[in-house]
Amino acid sequence: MSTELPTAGERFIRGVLPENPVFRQLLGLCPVLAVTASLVSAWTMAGAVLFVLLCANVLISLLRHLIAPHLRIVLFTLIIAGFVTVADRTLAAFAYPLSKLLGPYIPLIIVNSIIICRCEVCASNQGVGPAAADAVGQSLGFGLALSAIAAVRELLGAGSLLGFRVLPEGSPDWVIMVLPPGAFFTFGLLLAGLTAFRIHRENRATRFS
Amino acid sequence: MKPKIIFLVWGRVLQQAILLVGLALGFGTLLGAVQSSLQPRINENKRMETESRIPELVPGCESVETTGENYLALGGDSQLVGWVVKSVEGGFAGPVEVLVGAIPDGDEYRVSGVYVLSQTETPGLGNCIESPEWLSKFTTHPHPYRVGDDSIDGLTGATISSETVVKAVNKALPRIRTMQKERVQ
Repeated sequence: MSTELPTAGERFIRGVLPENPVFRQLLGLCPVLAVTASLVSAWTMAGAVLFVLLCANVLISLLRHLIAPHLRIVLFTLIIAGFVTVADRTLAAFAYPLSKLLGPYIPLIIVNSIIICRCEVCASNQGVGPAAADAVGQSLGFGLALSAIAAVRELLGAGSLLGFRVLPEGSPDWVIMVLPPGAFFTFGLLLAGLTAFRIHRENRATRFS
Repeated sequence: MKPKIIFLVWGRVLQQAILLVGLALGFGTLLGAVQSSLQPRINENKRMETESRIPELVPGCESVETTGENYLALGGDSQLVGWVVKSVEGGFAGPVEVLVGAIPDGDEYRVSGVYVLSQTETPGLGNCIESPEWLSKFTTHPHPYRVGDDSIDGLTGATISSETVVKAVNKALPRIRTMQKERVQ
């Protein structure tokens, strides 16, 4: 009695909202809190994760019939670490200020649980098409979540978005929003709001079905 | 029957070993290629960042002469206006690199600016050593420095990071003195 694995299209759609890695799966929360002080660093992190997740998913999907179960964590880690290092060096070579801005959080993508989770759940079980779609969908969901938190934190904490001053000069900056407590506040409140909204919709659906 | 099973088992083990070693070699080669092709660019980026900081550390600087770790800051007509020295000290979580700028003050010299080039200290606590307000204390107090009320105030919750920067700056002072003496002669 086995259910069909999701198709490529389904993997992509699910990654964005229904199985959003940050607000539904609650994975990879360390960079979510750390790099969302500004939109620029949030998008850089999302781009790096997209590259690593896509490459890792595709490679593991191609090798999936060769990987013995007891070796899979070792191989996943090896593959992910390789691609993260490529991404980190490329960023340092071609966008040095961004590399300095993100600091140790780019190499820390190696231990980001989103990537190893998608490798385990999707790439090691499905073909290249669904694996690639899953990578793109999950990264898009990750990027959206990061953008939501970063937009709030940067706007309230520095009065700017993407580095451009948006709020009028002279309006107070809540500096705490760009410090760690602000990350927790923003993430917690957004998570609570989204969950309440989802439960409300589910209740309405069951009531009218 | 038994030899066949053993052969099958060993065959599997061999296949997995080949996969593991093959992937390791493949990624090793990939990373080696990335490193050798990109490291020059990264070094250039670091060098350019260092040199872009020098005008802020030494007022009136318009061009720079370098001897590796030391920089001579030259003014309008290639007159010496100051020195910049790069210094490294082990911090709480890793090495902390600082740039120390100094300008001549009679027979002595004055520290005119300190900039943290790189650090991996704790975010929110140790990495406050990068704040310009704290670093400006080095220009308002006389050298040599120590962490304390009469010299450089340590940062709350970042004792080791503060002491690291103080040590790094103090390490740079004899090198500035040497450069000053060489130039004077």
